[in-house]
Amino acid sequence: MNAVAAYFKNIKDAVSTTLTGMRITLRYWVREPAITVEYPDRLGKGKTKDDIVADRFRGFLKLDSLKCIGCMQCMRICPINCIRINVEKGPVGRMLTLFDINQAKCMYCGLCVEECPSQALTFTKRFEGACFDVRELRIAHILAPTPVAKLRRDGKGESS
Amino acid sequence: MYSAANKLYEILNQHLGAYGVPETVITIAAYVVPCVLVLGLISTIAGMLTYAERKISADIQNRVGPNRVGPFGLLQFPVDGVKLLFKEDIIPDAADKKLFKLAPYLVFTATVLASLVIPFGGSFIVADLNIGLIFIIVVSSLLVVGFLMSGWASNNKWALLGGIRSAAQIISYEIPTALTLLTVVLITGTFSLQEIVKAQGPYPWQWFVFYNPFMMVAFIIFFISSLAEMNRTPFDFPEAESELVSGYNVEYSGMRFALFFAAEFSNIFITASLATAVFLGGGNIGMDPYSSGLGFQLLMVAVFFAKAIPLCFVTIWVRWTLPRLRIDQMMSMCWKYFIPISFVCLVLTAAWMLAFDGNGIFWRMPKT
Amino acid sequence: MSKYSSQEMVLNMGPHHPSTHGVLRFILQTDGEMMVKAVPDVGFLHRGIEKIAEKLPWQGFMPYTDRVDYVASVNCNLGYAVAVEKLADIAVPEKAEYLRVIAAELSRIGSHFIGFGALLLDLGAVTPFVHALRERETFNDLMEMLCGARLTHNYVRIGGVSQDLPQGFKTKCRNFVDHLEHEFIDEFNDLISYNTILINRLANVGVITAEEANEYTLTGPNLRGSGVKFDLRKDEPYGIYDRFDFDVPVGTGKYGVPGDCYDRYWIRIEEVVQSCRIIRQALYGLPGSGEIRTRLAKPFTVPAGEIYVRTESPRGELGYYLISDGGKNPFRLKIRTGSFSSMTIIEHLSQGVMVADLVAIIGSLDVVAPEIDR
Repeated sequence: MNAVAAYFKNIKDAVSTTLTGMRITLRYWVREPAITVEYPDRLGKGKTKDDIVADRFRGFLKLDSLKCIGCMQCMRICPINCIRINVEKGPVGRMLTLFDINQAKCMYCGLCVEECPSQALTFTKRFEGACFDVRELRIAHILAPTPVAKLRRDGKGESS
Repeated sequence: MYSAANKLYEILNQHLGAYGVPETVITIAAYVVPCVLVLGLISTIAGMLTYAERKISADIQNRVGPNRVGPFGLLQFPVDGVKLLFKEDIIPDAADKKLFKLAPYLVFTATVLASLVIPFGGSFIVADLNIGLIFIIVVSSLLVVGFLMSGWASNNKWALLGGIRSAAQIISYEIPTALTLLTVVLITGTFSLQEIVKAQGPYPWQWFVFYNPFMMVAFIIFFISSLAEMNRTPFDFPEAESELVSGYNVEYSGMRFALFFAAEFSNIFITASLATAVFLGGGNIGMDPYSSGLGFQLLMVAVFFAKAIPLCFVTIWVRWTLPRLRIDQMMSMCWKYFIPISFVCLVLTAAWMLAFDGNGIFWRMPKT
Repeated sequence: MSKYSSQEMVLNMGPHHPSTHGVLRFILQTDGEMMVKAVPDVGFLHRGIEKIAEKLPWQGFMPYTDRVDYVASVNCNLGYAVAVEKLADIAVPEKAEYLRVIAAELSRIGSHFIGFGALLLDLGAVTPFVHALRERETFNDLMEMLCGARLTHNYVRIGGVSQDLPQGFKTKCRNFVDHLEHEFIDEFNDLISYNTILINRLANVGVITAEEANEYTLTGPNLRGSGVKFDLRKDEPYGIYDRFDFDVPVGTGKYGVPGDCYDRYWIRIEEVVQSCRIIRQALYGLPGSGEIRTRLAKPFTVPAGEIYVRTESPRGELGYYLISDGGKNPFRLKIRTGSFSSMTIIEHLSQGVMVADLVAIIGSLDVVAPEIDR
């Protein structure tokens, strides 16, 4: 294509592609609504904080101490060693005396939840961990020595 | 030559002369008050344009934009201004202190000085100079000095690169801007902006943009070149964030940075007003601007703003659509495309005027 | 005798840079506007992942592979899992293979949005980047439904995947893929890909010929942009990739020369469309029931040996070189990433271009700092 035709083609291309782009942005400007969820003030119609997060969301951990069998698999698999468990021999059987999870260190990978044979350790939907002292995030799940559960055949724990 | 200062002097003399207020005070008041008012108006509009830019960009991008600071986030720009006032004033140790401090004032002055001759509708013009159009073109060249100063005085290689690029860009794009404005001067024979506005009519087909097809092209070229003058995308290479980390204003903080920022946004409004006055018949509703009653004059102001503000929005709209041009592509576009096209528009408009006795497609040359 | 001539400037495009490639540092030697050389300085994001692997059990290392490239974490998980399974000779159930493909291709789509989005952001077009991020939000929501996390998914396990599809996933995924292929990509191209300004910025810039690409060991979309048709999913298939019908887009010089920045940008857009095809086929062929995870021995050890397995991640070839001594931890794990190889060509490409072009080149190579430094 000779230079003159190329010159005018350049002008035409520039103008037409710019106008196409501008038409698309104009459509977005005028018609498309914002899709931002304005957390925490406006979450959408009838939605609560539980609704904006999926069911399987990996939030803070929760221990059901009635189901824990004290196998310490979660402590062993944790890549960051954020779970500390103490199991001692008590008068009638093994007792859980300490079950601390450091949620500040935790990387929410989910390996501990998968490993737990009795599904005592589960995820909650809580994700708001902001606090002024990081020690508040070192959560103790056992407040008093608790007897460990017995692992039933179907894989659920049961308090003995 | 009409000037708001003269008018205000007469009014003040009428009302206050009897109370023994000395002549100097009235003179000073008459000259200072219109300037301060215009300065306030331009700064406020610049602030509102920053808010508008954030809201429009949010709309284009499916986001919400500022909405916490007042109803619908309207108080965002005063709050931003106050925040910038309170910021620490950091001056680099090895920077050239006098030039460093002077540069933002120079840039802001260059921008706001042009507003002295913009006809805001009716008799609301600070000074209707006979050379109004040339005054604007000349005064916006001060911007170059300001940018070069800030680039050099920051003692920062990135700022220097940004300042140099900015200077090259602005002086190149002044040529198509001036040439396209000259096409209008061919028709009216005067540089005075108020006369140019009076020569047009209230109806769209009586505006100069529809005078002939070349004026339409001239208007578009004027608009795009002034985008380059203001360092707005697609020509914002000197202040490209991801490539140059904000170029010439990288070392500025606090109010000095706010002045650069305000200068850019005031420039948007002033360019839009200039385009309205020259091409779109800004403020003309078919009545004489100086002798009509106050109500009609306010209507003229409203008409002017109704034409200027959408042009500001178009500037913002273009920014959020297009990517940035590289500096050599920008230069080649100016020298190879814009300048030849503006020359062609100028020459062909002159030929048109010869051929058709100065009459446009719809516009008729007034019989003298 | 100074090695700088009197006109040259040494600039530092420091680790703090408003660009989404991460913490990367470049030392530029420029002569005014033209570059003489750009030397990359990497290592700001080095976290010692390979060393950490030597202390962790085999399954416990999986969350760390997420962080090798957090933009496309399922692909990195997949590479590690495939490597260990090959070394330990573990079979993966059929349904798990399909789930792996779906997650990996979704991750590829999400990663490419950031890949070409970051390039556009560097060039000044902010709106298309935000639109791409909006689509990536749907990908984030899908992965949140599937495995619970939006960024570091940790979905693949040695021997399968961790969880089955939840209710409503298939419909949402199919709608997403249809929306992408038939609505979003066309609108996106109209908005920015055919724009003259973008073409002028990207075409004929940073041309990498096929010989150069092979010499500098580029892989993935960067290699395909230079015209070399090599995709590990087709040439050395792993998993069940040989069952799917998809094209491998190759750079043909659409608006300039083959191997320029525009080709590498356009290929990523085309790959998104191809991934949509794969996902649709996988959703169709997904078995309704079945195991999703082979049970591993407790304690899990891998027989002694060494293996190098490479998979196709969105940034190129992701290779895991594993040495096992029969114990519970890997003896040595080396990760070879596509971004690291892409960094090696920047010094060569940067001679004689402008600073603005350098930004376009780095963006078109789609480097992310975590992959370079690990």
